[in-house]
Amino acid sequence: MASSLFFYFLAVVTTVGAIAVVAFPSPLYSVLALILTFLGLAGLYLSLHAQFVAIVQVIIYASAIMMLFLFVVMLINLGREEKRELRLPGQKLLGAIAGLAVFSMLLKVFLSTSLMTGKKGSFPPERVSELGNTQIIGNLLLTDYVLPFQAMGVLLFVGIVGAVVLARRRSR
Amino acid sequence: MLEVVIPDIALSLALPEIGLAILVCAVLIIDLFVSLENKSRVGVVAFVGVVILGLVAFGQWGEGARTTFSGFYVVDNLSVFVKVCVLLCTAISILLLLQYAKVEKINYGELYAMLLFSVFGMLVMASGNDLITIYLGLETMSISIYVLVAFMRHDPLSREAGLKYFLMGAFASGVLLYGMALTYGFTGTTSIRGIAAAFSGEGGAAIAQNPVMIFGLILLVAGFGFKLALAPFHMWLPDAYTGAPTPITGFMSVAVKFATVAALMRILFVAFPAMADRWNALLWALTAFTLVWGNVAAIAQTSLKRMLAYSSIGHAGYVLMGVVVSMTVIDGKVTFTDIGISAVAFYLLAYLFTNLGAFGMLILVCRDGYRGDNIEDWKGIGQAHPWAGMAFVVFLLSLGGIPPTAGFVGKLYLFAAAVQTEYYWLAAIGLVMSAVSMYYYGRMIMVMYMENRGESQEVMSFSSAPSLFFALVVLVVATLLLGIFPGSFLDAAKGTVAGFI
Amino acid sequence: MIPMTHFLVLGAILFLIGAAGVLMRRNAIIILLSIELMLNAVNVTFVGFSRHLADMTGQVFGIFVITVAACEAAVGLAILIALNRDRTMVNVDEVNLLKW
Repeated sequence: MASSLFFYFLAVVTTVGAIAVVAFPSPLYSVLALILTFLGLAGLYLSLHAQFVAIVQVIIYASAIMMLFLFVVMLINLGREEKRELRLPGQKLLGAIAGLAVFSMLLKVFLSTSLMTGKKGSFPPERVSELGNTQIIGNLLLTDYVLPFQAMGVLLFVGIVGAVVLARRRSR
Repeated sequence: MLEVVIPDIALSLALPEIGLAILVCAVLIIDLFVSLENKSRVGVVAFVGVVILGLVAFGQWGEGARTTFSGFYVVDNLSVFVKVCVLLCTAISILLLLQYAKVEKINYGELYAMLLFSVFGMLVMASGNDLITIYLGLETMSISIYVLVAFMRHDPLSREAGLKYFLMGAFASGVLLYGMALTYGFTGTTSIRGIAAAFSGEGGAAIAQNPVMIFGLILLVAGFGFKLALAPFHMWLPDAYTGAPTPITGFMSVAVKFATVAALMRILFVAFPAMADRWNALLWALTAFTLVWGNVAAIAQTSLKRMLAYSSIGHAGYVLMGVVVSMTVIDGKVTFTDIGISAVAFYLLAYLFTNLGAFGMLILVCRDGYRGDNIEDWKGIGQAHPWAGMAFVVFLLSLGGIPPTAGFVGKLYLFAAAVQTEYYWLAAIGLVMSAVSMYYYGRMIMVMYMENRGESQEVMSFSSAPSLFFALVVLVVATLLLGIFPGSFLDAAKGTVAGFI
Repeated sequence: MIPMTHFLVLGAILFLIGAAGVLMRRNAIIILLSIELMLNAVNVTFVGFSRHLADMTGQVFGIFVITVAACEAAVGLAILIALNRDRTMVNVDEVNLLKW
C-alpha cells in the first residue's frame, strides 16, 4: 500500500513537471520544471531497486546537464516567443482532439497488454540486493558491455570536441 | 561476491574501429603543431590513415561471420562491405574537402577529426550485433554530423541547417530509442540474435501479435526512416543538405545511407523475420511515397544543390525498394532473397561514386563568395569547359539510370530483383519515377549544352586543385567502370549475403 | 509491488508529452528540453522492464542513454550559442533563410 502510494505520488509529480516543461512560456521555468520531473524519476528508479541509475539521474541529469541548460538560458538573451500562427481555423481544437484520440487509444492498448511473464533473467531482486546493484552494473560494463562502454567514451569525446568547435571564438 | 568473468575478446576483428580511434587522436594532436595556413596537411594525414584502414577492413572480407565482445560485435561480409565503402567514401570526401575548406575558410583540423568521428560511428553501426551497439554507433555518427553541418559558422545558412538537422535528428533518435525499449521489454534481450530467438521460441507468436510490440516496431522503422530521410520524414533533408558544406553533403548523402541501411537490414532481416509481413507492408508504403515525393519535388528546384538534395531522397527510395523486395514468402515461409540484398549493396556502391561526383562538380566551381548554386549559372558550360561538362553529364546520366553508367546497372539489377520476387507495383513505380528523374537531370544537361551564356553572366571558373581533379577523375572512371564491366562488383555485392541471414 | 504496466503507461505519457512539446513549441531550448523528456520516458520504460524481466540490460542501456543525452545536450546548446553570436534568435521559425 505504501509503495503504491509512493508510486502514484511520484508519477503525478513527474507528469505535472513534464506538462509544465511543455506549457511554460519561459525556458527558465521549463528547465526548473524538468529538474522536478527528473527528481521524481530518480525516486521511481529507487522504488525499482535501480539505485545506480537513480544516482546517475540525480548527479548527471538533474544536476550537470540541467546546469548546462540553465547556463545557456542565462547566457543567450531570450526574446519573447511568438505565438505560432494557425493556418486553419479551429486547428487548435482539431489538434487537441486528434492528440487525445491517439493518446486514449495508446493508453487502452498499453493497459491491456500482456507482458512476457515466462522466462526470467539471471538477476532477480534478491540476488541484486545481495550482490549490490552498483557492483553488478560495474562488473557488466567492464566485461560483457566493454565494447559499448568504449564506444561511449568515443561519443563523449565527440561531444567535447564538437561543442568546443561550435561555441569557441575563433582567432581570425 | 559476483564473480568477474572476462569474456573472450578477439581485438583483431575490431581493428578498423581501433585504428580509426587512434587516427582521430593522432589528427587532433598533429593539428596542434600545424600552423593555420597548412591545415591541409592534417587532411592529408587523415586521408592516408583512412586509405590504410580501408585496406585493413578489406582484408577481413570473405571469412564468414565471426562475433566477439560477448556477441555485441559481428564481422561478416555485409559489415566488411559497408566498412570498405564508407572508408572509400571518406577518403574521396577528404580529397574534395581539401580545396573546399580553403575556399570557405573552414580549414581547421577539427573538421577532419569530426569527419573521422562520424566514420567511427558508422563502422560500429555496420558491425553492431546488438541494439545497444547500433544505437551508440548511430548517435556517434549523427552527433558528429550535426557539428559538421553547422561547421561554417560564419554562414547563417550552415548554422541554421545545423540547428534544424540537430532538432529533427535528436527527435528521431528518441523515437527510435522508444522502439528499442519496447522491443527489449517484449523479447527480454537487446541482442539481434536473441530477439530472433525470442520470437521463434515459446510464446513468440503471441509477442509478434502484441499491439504494443507492433507499435514498437513502427517506432523503430520510423526512427530509421527519419535518419534515411524517407518521405514523410524527409522535411529536414533539403535544408540540412543545402546548408552544409558541399563535401559534407556528399559525404552524408552516401555514407549515412550505407551505415543506416546496413543496421536496418540487420535488425529487420535477422531480428524481426517473425514480423516480416508487418514491416514489409510499412516499408512498401514508405518506399512508394519516397520515390514519388523525392522525384516530383526535385523538378521544381532552381538551386542545383537543392535539386541534388531532393534527388537523394528519391535515391533513398530506390535503396529501400531493394530492402523491401528482399523479402518474399516461399511455401508460407518468410525468406530473404540473395538477389534483393545484393541489389541494395550494388545500388549503394553505384550511388557512392555517382553522387560524390555530382557534388564534386559543385565544389569545382566554388570560389570565394561564389557557389555556382543556381542551375542558370551552368548555361553553356558544355561549350566553355568541354571536359568538365562531359564529367557532369556522366554523373547526371548515372543518377538518372542511363547506360553505360553505374546507375543503369544498379537500377536494372534492382528492378530485376523486384520482378523476380513479384513486387510488380513497386517496380512500376520505380520505373516511372526513373523517367521523371530523367526530366530534371536531362534539363540540367540541356542547360549545359543547349543554352548560351547570358551577356551579364558571371564567368564560371573551375578550380585546378590537384586533389579535386584526382578525386573527380577517379569518380568518373569508377562510374563508367561499374556501368561497362560490372561483373566483379556484382560478385562483391552478391558476396555480402554470405553469413548474414 | 507496482505492476509493470503502470511504468509502461507512465513512460508512454511522458513520451507523448515530450513529442507534443517538440511538435508544438517554437523555442529551440524548449524543444530540446522536450527531447530530453522523451529520452527520460524511454529510460523509465527500460528500467521498469529491467525489474520486470529480472535482467540488468535495461539499466545498463539506461545509463548509456543518459550519457548520450549529455553529449546531445552539449552539442545542441553549442549550436544554439553559435547561432546566437551575432543576433538574438532562438525561435525555430525565425530561422527562415531556409524553408522550414
